[in-house]
Amino acid sequence: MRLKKISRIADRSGQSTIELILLLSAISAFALIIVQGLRKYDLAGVVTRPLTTGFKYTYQYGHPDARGFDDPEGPKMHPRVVGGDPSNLRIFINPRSQ
Amino acid sequence: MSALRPKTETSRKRPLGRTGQATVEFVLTLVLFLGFALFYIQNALMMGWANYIHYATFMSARAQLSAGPTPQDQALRAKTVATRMLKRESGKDRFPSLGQGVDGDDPEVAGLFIEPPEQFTAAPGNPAFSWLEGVRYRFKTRLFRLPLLGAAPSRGPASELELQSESWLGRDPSDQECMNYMKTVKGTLDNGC
Repeated sequence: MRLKKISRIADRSGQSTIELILLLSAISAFALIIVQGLRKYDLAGVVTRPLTTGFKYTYQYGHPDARGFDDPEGPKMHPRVVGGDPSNLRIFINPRSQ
Repeated sequence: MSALRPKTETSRKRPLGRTGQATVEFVLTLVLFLGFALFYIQNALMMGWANYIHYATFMSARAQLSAGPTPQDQALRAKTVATRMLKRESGKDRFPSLGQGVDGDDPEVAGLFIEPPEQFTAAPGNPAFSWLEGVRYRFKTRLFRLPLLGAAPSRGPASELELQSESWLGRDPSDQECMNYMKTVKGTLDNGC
């Protein structure tokens, strides 16, 4: 009778399997939430925004805030446009705010 | 007593279930590391190529600037220079992984604009737009080599960057334009073209 009781207590072979399944489920759910969030909130877009906006206009016009005729708001801080926004026809300007 | 007992083969074995842990961690870390590393390498190469494209548009605009028999000849020179610098003999981009020409007013040279923009043509002679003669080159590039942060290479604008290089050097009047002008003044000026 005593031996039988001991063997029942020692029978824990399925515990690690159950824990593994539960842990995997939790990790998978967490990973899914992260991936969905990345797509929903466009984290890649947020990370690459300095390149897709600031660097793009710096490359084209020499200033991250400059705009040209192709942009919907029209020329702004453009080095050669005469008229329009008063910031146009700039020769030299420091991109850092003073 | 058990502490004094010599270790058997069984007791030397590594704990079960942990044999692949280091491998899995290595693979997970490697993917993340490669994603970031390739992102920086790709952008460094792209910026180098973009700098070269600035030079190419300048060279092309300079070829157009010089006078020639006709305006078409000047445009052809600009196109030839841009093609030689930016494209292969087959007409494809030299480094398509770093920059692919998009749009353009000549289907043979994707991305190249030699025709003046509408502001120039809509207001001829207007000094506010008279400088708008030159060469533009529009190209797009990939930002990610590996799908990172949910941005697969073919999944929307977050993984792509479209840039445009402009070089406005103007254009000297061609012989043809000069002769046409000289006809209008009827010999008042005799310096010729």
